[in-house]
Amino acid sequence: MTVTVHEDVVCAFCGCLCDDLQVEVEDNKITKVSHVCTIGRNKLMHSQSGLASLRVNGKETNWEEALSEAAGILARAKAPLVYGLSSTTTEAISEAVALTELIGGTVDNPSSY
Amino acid sequence: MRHLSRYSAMSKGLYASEGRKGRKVVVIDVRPTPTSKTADLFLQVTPGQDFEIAHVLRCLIKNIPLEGLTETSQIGGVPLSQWRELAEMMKQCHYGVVMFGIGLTQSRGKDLNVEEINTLVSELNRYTRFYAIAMRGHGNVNGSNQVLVWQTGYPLAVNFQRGYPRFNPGEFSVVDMLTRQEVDAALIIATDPGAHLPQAAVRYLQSIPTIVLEPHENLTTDWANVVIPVAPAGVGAEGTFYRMDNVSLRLKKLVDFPVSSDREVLQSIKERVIQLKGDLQDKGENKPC
Repeated sequence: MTVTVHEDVVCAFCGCLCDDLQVEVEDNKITKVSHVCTIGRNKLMHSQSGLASLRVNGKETNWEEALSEAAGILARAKAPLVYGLSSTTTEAISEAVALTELIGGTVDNPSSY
Repeated sequence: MRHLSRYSAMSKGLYASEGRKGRKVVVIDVRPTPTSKTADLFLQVTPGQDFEIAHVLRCLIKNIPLEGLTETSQIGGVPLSQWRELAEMMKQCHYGVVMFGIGLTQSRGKDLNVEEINTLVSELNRYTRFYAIAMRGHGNVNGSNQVLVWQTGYPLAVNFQRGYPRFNPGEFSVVDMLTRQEVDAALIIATDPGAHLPQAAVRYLQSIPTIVLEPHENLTTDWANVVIPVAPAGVGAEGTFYRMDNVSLRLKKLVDFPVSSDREVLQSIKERVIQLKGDLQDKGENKPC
């Protein structure tokens, strides 16, 4: 089994964004993280477990239904709120702002409280 | 957790080649912490007097007489003489940075406390080089402020109900809107409000249709109406993050995930909303306000 070593990996956990991590990946699984604090190591080592499942009202579903349900809720809402955006990429944030404008909603992140 | 070793106390730079030895670290907090134990000066203050402390420091730096106060008078639980010592340290350093945490916004005065710290730093620049940095929590909290400023002109709490961006923390900020029950649906992206927001705000969020985009199960996915798993940024999806000092960094994709990124899911939702808005308008529903 080949091990890929990623150098100068950026840790996405906190605002420090330490960019000198070394991450070993074996068979598409993160096996070792070095040059990192305890929280960062745990975040990366556990990033592939405890994954959320796709569901609508508690029932497992398919992508088409979940995306349509989400779009339906947002299109019909009179005053929707788009909130969070603290652990995602600026590219996704940009999409979220465009979506908020489209639905006439409010967008906010955790720095407001 | 590596803030002290990589950025603040121990890092070595062009003009600070000695690292921790050539640096003074002052900690102001309401209780002793692991950081305060490593400080050159620790000032344990009484909670809720951040504005007064910053104001006294401003007066001391500008040599404004403090009427009715003696050297033993307490400001925020610390004698004036110690604040004077700190003010002198700040004035005499070559390059100082105030790193302030979110606690500053939680006491009386809220944003005014931050403004007072910023004024203090701006006034210190008459004597030396000084800077203020907000200590950020999660990885890209700064990034969402950056993108919002770039796209709307405002950093947070932006409302589009009138078709153009309006900014008003207190009116359009998440806790206030939820506790006043002013929203009727929510889209939560890469954050866990179920774990962090006040109870009243979470209870209201639970009563309205909520969509969550999140890689892992958390306290919000438990009860959200729609849960859409996504690839975590910096692990299963590449993209840009902003560090707390406003430097942008590119995050790599390390492993494959069976799901799409936040960006792809948001694009799909956006396309469907455009379609639905058109259909609803044709049927005469959802007329613009």
